[in-house]
Amino acid sequence: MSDTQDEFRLVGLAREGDRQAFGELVRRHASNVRRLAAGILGDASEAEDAAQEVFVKAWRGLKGFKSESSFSTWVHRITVNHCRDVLRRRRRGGWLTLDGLIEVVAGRRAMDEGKPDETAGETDAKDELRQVLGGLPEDYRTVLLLRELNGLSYEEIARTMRVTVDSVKARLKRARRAALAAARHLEAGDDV
Amino acid sequence: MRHEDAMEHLDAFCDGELAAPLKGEMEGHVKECGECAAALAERAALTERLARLIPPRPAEGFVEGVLNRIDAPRPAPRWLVPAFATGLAAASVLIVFGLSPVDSDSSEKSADILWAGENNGTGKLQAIDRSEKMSADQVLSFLLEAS
Repeated sequence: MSDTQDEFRLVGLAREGDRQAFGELVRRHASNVRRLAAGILGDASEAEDAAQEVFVKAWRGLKGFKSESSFSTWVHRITVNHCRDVLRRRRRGGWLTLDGLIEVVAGRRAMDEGKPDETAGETDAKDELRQVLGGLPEDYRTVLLLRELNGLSYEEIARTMRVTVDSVKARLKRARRAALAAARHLEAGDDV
Repeated sequence: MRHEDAMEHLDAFCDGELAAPLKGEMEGHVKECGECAAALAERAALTERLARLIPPRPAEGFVEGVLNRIDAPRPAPRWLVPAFATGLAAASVLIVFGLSPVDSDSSEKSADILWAGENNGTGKLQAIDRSEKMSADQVLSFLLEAS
């Protein structure tokens, strides 16, 4: 049985309420969903929660999934839409999560006491990511991540984002150009 | 293939989206052209950088977490969430500092402690009208000052 046929079978079982089959689908796609969410949200810890929420939405929406696209494309689409909602809420409310608050306070304390911050490595990566991708409009960032991290084809990206392949090509070109310029700038700064 | 044409197809070539015979022409050009080879290497470095910055994580506990959430009751309607979150945040601040929100005798004192506000260089916390809402920034500055 091919991977596609097997996935089709798992989707069918999950649609009938088979949690084990759905668990297998989650296992197969978790890494891609988490990485995409981390890239769009710019925050790995927030991405973990977002990714779980994506799969909960997928479970609840399985009955409406017509298998016109692959399960992968469908889950990527849910991820993009969910992350957009998270970003919208973040922009609208200026929310500060309790975890975020504790992290900031703990980091500030460690700095005050001259101790090394245990989250420094993670923060560095987050800062670097922000510098490389932060200047990109959300749609461009998403296209770049779908291609570079998750390896989707132009056609799959177009289906995920409900745009034309030409639009994918144009966005990808501009996103790459901006990300490469940011990376060059970062390296020039590192050398100084 | 002309260099200008090659540059035009570079992204598609790099993404494995070029079909023959264009793909073969590009392969031939890149072998000869230092500029295109360098541009390809730069793109590959960007891919590696993103993969390093957003690494795949082991799925330990992830699937179980999803299945547990599926079993959990559905979340409250959206309009209820901000109200609940505001209440929760206020309660958290009160719990952290051992205050009772219903203790009418200490309401003045609670107001003093609840608001970090402008300290005018005195380092003392100041009270404001209790009906005024605290923003996320204010809560943060309060906790930083209190810590």
